Amino acid sequence: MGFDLPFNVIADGGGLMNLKGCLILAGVIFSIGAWGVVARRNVLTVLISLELMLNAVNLVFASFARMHANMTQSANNATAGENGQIFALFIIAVAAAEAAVGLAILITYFRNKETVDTRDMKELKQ
Amino acid sequence: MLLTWLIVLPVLGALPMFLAREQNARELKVWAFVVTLATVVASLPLWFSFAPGANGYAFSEAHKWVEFKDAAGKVYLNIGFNLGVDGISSLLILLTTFIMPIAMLSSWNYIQKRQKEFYIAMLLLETAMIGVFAATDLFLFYVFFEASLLPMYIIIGVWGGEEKIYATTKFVIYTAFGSLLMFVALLFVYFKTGAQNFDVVQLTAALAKARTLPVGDPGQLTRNAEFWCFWAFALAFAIKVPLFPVHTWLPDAHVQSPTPGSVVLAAVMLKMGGYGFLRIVFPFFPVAVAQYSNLFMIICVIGIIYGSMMAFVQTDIKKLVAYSSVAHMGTCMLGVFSMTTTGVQGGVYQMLNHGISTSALFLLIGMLYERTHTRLIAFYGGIAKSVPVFTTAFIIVTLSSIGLPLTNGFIGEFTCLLGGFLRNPMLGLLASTGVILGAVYMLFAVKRMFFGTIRREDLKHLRDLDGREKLVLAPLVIAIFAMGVAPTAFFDRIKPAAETYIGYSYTPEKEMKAAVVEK
Amino acid sequence: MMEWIVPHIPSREALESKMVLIPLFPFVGFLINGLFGRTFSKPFAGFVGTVAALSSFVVALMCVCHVHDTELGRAGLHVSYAKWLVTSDFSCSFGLYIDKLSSVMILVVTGIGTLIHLYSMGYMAHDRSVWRFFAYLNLFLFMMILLVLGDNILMTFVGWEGVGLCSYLLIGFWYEESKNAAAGMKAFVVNRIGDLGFLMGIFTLIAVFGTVNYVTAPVKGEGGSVTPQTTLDAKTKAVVVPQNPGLLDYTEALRLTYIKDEHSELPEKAELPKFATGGEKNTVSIPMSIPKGLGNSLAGLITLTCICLFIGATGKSAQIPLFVWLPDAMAGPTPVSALIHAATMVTSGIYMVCRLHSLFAFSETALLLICGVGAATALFAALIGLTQLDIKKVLAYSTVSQLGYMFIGLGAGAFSLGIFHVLTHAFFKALLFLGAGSVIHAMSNEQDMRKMGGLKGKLPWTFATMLIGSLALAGVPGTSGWFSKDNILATVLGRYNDTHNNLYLVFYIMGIVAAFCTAFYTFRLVFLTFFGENRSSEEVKHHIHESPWTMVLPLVVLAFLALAGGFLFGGMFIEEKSGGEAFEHLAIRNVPFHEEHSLHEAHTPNLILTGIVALLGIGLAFFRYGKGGNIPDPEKSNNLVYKASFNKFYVDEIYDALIVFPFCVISELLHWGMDIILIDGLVCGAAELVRNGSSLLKRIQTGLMNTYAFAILSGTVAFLIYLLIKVQ
Repeated sequence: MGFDLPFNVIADGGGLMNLKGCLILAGVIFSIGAWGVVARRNVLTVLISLELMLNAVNLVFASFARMHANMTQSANNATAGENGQIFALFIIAVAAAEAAVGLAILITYFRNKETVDTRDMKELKQ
Repeated sequence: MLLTWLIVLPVLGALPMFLAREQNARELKVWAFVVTLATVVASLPLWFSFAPGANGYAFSEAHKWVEFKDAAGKVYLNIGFNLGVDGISSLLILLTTFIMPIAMLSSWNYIQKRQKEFYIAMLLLETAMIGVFAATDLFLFYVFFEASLLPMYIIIGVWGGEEKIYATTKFVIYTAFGSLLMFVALLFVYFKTGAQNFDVVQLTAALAKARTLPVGDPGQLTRNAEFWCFWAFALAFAIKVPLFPVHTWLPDAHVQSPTPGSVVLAAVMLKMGGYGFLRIVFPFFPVAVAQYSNLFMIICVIGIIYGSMMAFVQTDIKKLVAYSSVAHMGTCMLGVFSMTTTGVQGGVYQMLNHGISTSALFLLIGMLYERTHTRLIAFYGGIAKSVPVFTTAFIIVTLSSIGLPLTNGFIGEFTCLLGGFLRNPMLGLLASTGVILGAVYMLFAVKRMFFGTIRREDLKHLRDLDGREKLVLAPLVIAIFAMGVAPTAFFDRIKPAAETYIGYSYTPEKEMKAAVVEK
Repeated sequence: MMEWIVPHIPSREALESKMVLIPLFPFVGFLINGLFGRTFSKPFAGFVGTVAALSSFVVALMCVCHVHDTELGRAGLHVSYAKWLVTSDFSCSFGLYIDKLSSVMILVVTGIGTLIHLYSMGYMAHDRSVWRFFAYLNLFLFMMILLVLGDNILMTFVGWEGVGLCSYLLIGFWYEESKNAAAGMKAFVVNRIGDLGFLMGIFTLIAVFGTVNYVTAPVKGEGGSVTPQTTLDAKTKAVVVPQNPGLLDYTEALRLTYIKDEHSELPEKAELPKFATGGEKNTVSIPMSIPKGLGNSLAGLITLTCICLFIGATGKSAQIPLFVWLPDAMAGPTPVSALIHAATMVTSGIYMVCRLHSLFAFSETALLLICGVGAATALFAALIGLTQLDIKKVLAYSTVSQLGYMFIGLGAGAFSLGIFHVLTHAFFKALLFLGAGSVIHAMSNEQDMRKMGGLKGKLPWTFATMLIGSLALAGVPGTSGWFSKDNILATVLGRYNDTHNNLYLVFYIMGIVAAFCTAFYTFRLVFLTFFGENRSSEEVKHHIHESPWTMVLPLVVLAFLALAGGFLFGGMFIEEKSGGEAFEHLAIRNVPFHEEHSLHEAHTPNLILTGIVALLGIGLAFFRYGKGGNIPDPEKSNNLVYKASFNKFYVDEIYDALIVFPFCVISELLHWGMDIILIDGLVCGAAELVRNGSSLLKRIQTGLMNTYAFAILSGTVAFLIYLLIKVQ
């Protein structure tokens, strides 16, 4: 297989961390989230699943950021790996906003239609 | 800065109207009218202090507008807010500003709902139209060209007749189809030649250079590419003119449009097509023009005869006039495609004439429609007795439309046909049959509407023209005679520009000469 | 010579500054009546119109006296006012130009115009909108003056179309009857067909000569050139033309270059000669910027131009095939028929040919065509005239026929005689129409001759004057009509003697037969109208009365002219010698004869023949209708020829079937087939295609959020897989 990523163990200060493990975990979380978005009927669940997916991505960003930081430390690059962390932070912020807006819409929607079942939400078709 | 002001003035006038309330419709009308009058005043220097510079343009100005640089800091997209007018576009701008107050006045009672929005749309339209004629930057031209569609789309779609949605959709999609092709060709020309900016003159020079590059050079403009680009531009403008067979949007749009919309459409918007041919197609693609100008002359001749025949069988007077526009624009474009000085002069003059006489016809029809709410010719008959002043005005405009000497129509028609004749006698002869056919369909309609005995009781008490309506028509009638008796000033104005555009025309000898000079 | 008319002839400068008044008076009259006439009383509106016409006549008369005054030594007056149209191919200005040729026409136009204005004051006295009538009539005079006095062919065209417009307005004057409006429209449209020819002629002239001016434009301070200024330098034998030569300067130069003796013609392949101009070294040549497709033979181009211009003339002057509008034009008020459709407008075709006669003289083909068309029209219209019942229709067809004679004259190369017949015809035909108007007026607007009869006692003045007019029309020797017609026919016979071209003999015989028919139908009209018993209803009989003096006075004046016109003016037009130099009096150069005696030998047999047919025709008419009681009734006739003649040989019906009907059908077919089904079908079809395509694709859209999410997800996954594979 072509996963030629640096799957070896990376030194992390005192402890050790397994990048492979992190990525697998992120994949599992993402898949659960995706399954939730596609299959669940309750919009609330769908929103939670969305959060799951976003966080899986965050995890990937954070892991790679750390990896980059470790790899380039020897080259005295102080800012290495920051980008990934910044992105993760961004995503957290956006996810919070998104959740707030999404829940607000959901509440309004429920007040009007008294349902949160996706099967009843067919306005897009009309 | 005159041209910028001219473009901005109607928009500035429209701004406070956004804040106004619909209830103040009367004040709004007066305000919009005053704004258009102010624009007329502001445009007067175009006539009185027109002094073209070395490149043939007067009132030139250039502003930076959009500039995209790539990573290396090299400008790769440079769109300038460049304005300037030559002898032809200055006249067309004057025509625009001249027609707008008349159109405003004509909508006084015609438009009853959403008056605020209507007048705003009209003012925005004026800006776009002036912009089209004032732009010397090709991209800017395109922007205004498209921008003029939107207000017209709304004007027909909101204030139109029973089938307004169909008509306005057809109008916009028809026109946009052509202009999108033009947009593609425009970008192609720009990037292929590697021009510095979209300035029309510079693009022309760049294209001329690209044509002479050796085969295989990446910058070379092959004949094939030139023909494709030519057709893209030509189709966009042919739809706008409109030339046969892409004219079918016009009758629908005119019939459904409210009177002021028809007036502006006929008087100004159709002229953008002919103007585009002269201003852009002739300089850009001389080889293709040389190859196809005969074809286009044939198309014009077909348009003249076909448009006249269509006009002859119409039962709706507005549709009749719309089809007569097809015929008239055919005459006009025949002059332009004849590529003779006289023909181009006549073609441009005929654009002005058509703007005046056809909009007068639409105004008159609109006035009649306000009274009776029908445009069917068969409904009328014998109304000359009840509305003598109206009849007199209608007949005067009809005479101008069929090109009677001492009216403006004659000068334009005569010179266009002469141009056509000197280029190709047979086509000139065929085109001149329009002189007969024009008399046939117009006078036939006049006879059916105005002469004979009045059959319907209500037509006996038809109201004749009131003061406002006379005021609307007076400038047009005066222009009809003035331009018929004293065309010299116009012809002198058009001549240098016409010669410039013909000067681009391609002849094999010219190419050989250019090759010799290069060696 | 003319001092007994105008004792003191003003100087040229004074006259040239006054020339503008000739068209201006009628124009001002038109404006006054047109703008304010509504508020005028009926007599005042008529007064304004008549005074305008009379003033114009007076000024014109002064100018004409100057032109014909031999001592002043100038052949004419020429003023140019302002540039009108300047293009790179030609330029022209508003200019007035009186030479000897136009002086004849201008007097006819303003003189007879004035008389008819006067007559109309009586005739139209009871009409609802007299002011409108006089406004149109004055506008007509204005346009006609432009036509006659214009110094370039474009000005002539302005007048040409302008009189067509006035004709349209006046034929449809009583527009409340749809028939009248239709007749007006027919006149305008048929005229426009001719105008197309005229337009093509002008275009060719511009292409060949590069100018539309007749003669060199006048130079400030010096006055204009009034006759072609081209001269033959005696020493160097070079042809010298003025600077900026006009059409007539060019034709004169061509004549001097190529027509050395009476036998030579314009060469088929003329090398364009260079003419000297303004100084030693300067030369000028005919521009000849001929478009491809017209050939480059000068002679051929001139023939083409002449034929095009002649087509224009057939429209305005009602010749085959475009004569159909003139009989219908009788729907207008009778003074209009007299002024426009008999005396002036319809003769403008002849005038136009004469104006450019030096061009036509180059083209034998064109002249032969003109002669043939003229002869055919003269005969054809005369045959129709034989059976008409409407008094104005008889006169209308007679007008068509007489116009045919004028063209015979032109075609035979006797341009001066064509103009002479214009003059005499203007006298007697205006007289006949006005007389007919007087009869119609008396008969309470009855025009059917079957309901007239026995009017000679009740309308003595009308009868006497109309009798004179009829004698002139029938060509009884001594009357003005005889002078002109007899000489035209003699010239045709002379041409036959000269060239032995059998066509001329055919044309001559057609002319003689037509002359016989003319005499017959004229006196048929006289006998049916004035002799026998009155056949009208009692009520109409009660109202019969002689017309007021305003109507009788013009009749008397015209009757005098119709009777004595030949003696008074004949010398100006009739050629003493065959060929030779231009006429002193008319500045017209008729096409010369090859043999000196050809024309002389024709005179005597022709005189006998025309005399005989005239008397025969009158005699036959007397025999059939003179004794009264024999009332024609074509509807019951079984004679096919008679019926055909009564129904105008079905020309209108044939035109309807061949041109009008197909045009309507094809237009309608194209409208549906081409515009609505084909083009709009394609346009809307494209839209339909998009719509149907999208309604298929629409099914993918379930509206379920989850489905969309799944679609996005699977799309992303598919893309990722693609990337992975690609990376490999």
